[in-house]
Amino acid sequence: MQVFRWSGVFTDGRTATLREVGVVYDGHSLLIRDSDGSEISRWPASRIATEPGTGPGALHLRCSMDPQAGLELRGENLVLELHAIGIKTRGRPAGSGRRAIVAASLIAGIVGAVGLVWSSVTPLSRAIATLVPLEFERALSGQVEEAFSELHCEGDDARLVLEELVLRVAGPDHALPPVHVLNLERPNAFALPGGGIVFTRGLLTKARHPDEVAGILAHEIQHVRQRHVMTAMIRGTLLTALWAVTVGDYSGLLVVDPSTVFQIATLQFSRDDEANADRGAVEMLDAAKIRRDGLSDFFTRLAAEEGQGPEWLSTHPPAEGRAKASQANGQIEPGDLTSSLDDSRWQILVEACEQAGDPEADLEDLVF
Amino acid sequence: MTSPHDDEYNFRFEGSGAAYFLIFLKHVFLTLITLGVYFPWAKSQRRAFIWRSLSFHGHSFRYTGTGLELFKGYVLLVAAYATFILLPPLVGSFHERLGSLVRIAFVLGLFAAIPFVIYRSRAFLYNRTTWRGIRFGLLRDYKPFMLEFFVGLLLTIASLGLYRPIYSNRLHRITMNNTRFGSLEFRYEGDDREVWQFTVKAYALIIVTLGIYYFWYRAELERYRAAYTFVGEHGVLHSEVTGGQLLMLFVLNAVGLTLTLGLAFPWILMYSLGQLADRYSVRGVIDFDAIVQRAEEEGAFTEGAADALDLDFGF
Repeated sequence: MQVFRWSGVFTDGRTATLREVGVVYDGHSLLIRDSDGSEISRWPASRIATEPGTGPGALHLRCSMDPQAGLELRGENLVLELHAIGIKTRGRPAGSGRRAIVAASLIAGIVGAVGLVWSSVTPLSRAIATLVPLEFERALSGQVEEAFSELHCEGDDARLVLEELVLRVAGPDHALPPVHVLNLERPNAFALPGGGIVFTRGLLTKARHPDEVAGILAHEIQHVRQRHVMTAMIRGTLLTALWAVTVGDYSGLLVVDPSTVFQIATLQFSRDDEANADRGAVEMLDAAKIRRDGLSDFFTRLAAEEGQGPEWLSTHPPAEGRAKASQANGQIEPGDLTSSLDDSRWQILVEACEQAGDPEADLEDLVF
Repeated sequence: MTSPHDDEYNFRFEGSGAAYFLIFLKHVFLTLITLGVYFPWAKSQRRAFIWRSLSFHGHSFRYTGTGLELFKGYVLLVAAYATFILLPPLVGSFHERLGSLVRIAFVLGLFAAIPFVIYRSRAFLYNRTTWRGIRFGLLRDYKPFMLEFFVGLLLTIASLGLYRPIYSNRLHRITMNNTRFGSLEFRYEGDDREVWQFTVKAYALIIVTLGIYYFWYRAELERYRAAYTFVGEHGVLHSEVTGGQLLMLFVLNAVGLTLTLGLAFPWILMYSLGQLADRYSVRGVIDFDAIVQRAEEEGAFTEGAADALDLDFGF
């Protein structure tokens, strides 16, 4: 049996005294002796764990029988010798070649893992979202709907026309979402957590005919039916949490703001939701036999008005593409489609908020 | 062997940027494929690396915390967070006003818990730090810290920030005086008025120099705090950090990280820590043979809570 001897320093974990010791392997254990030859401790090799020690070539050993104590050994062939007696070492210094291979493998693994997470997060979020009742979604969002309710401005006649329009677009076989008009100047429409839909006064006054509004309404109803709001909340929570635990501890050291990169990357999800809502809206309009050109007219006008910003920075797909898709994806011949509202009802809707005060410019001008 | 006749004990930091970068990559990969579950183990390993790269008087520090401890803390924290998010709307669906009250109670409770979490989190970190097998620790007496936290905050707000230097100094004193290395006590005797005077002077100079003087102020504060931090009966901490050095490290970080889009951070961090560690030492006499182990345990829940509340201390 080969005899192994080392010298090192020993701490007993009961005082801060450092002892220079000699260590011998007796076939089963490491025998630790003080400088005067007296035995300090005996550590079975099977109960020893190692980690890097102080400085190059050093190893720090601990024994599970005496976890407070520590033994630091140094030696040119220390790792090989410990391996020979069955003590596995951790943190063995690697050469630069091995490090490069490990780094490249990890980077490839990270790219793959990111791709896997990215492709699975939306289906997973959607599956969870379908289990959450709309009432609970509304309650989760706190005071959002209540805050918006203070901006409702439609009169009774306009409310009846809206309900009629919703029934025409959504059809009788589904629950009808509540729809209101907000006293805001900026043209906009959005789905609220819990299934409500709001239009702004500015959108109604800017729309050129009722089928534009019907098309936008169909789009927002699709957001509600496809549970995009809840899906986005769940997806955002999952990705934000994963981002925080993965890079969060390092983000303060990275000059390229990871959170900005993260936000830009997740805009793709928003664009996907919008595209899906567009497709569903066209199907819904066909089913209701409502003219699709309202939706495409709206997108065409939007394309003319919006700037040349890059798609990857936008929450919505390019309007020009949306206009083409809305016409191309329909199954019903345009000749078989009718308008959603007659002229008199359309006029009531345009003047929905005539009795309310002057509109606020935008949500940003409000103090919640 | 130690000798009671030693008069300067130096710190050294010798971490490798390449090794830290590999730890970072391994952390990201394993955290991703486990959907975040691996995070506590990654944090433990990162700390273990940084701790053992730092040595004092030729012997490394050790981080003895485990990923499992942190994981348990995070699980409890997630449960508490989920309760915070879900309980108010659930209660509110039965009784709206009660739901609002529950939400308000949670928010107030969270705010009140902040100093407790900070203190206990630091206690956990100290308790998991050893040198020559002896644990550091923080006394369980957190009430003075909590009291100073809230009173000092109110005074700072009422004084439009003028009380801030004293506030900071008092919190530092409480923490340092409660710190132990085994049976070895630490003591901070920095004077509130002196700190206030050079800080207020620094505020003026920072404005005049468009912020450049900040680095000299920080260096002066570090040297002052060190000079008044006593280690046991006959030791005192010593710092030689300078404003120029801090400015140089800041510029290195900013330029280096910008040019490499942040990817050089492991090397820059290791270099920065090395530069700072070289400027610190303990002077005087420390009888290591007289230092004995204490028994002190702190839970990992507060560690996880501090992390989630972004009250982490960087490592």
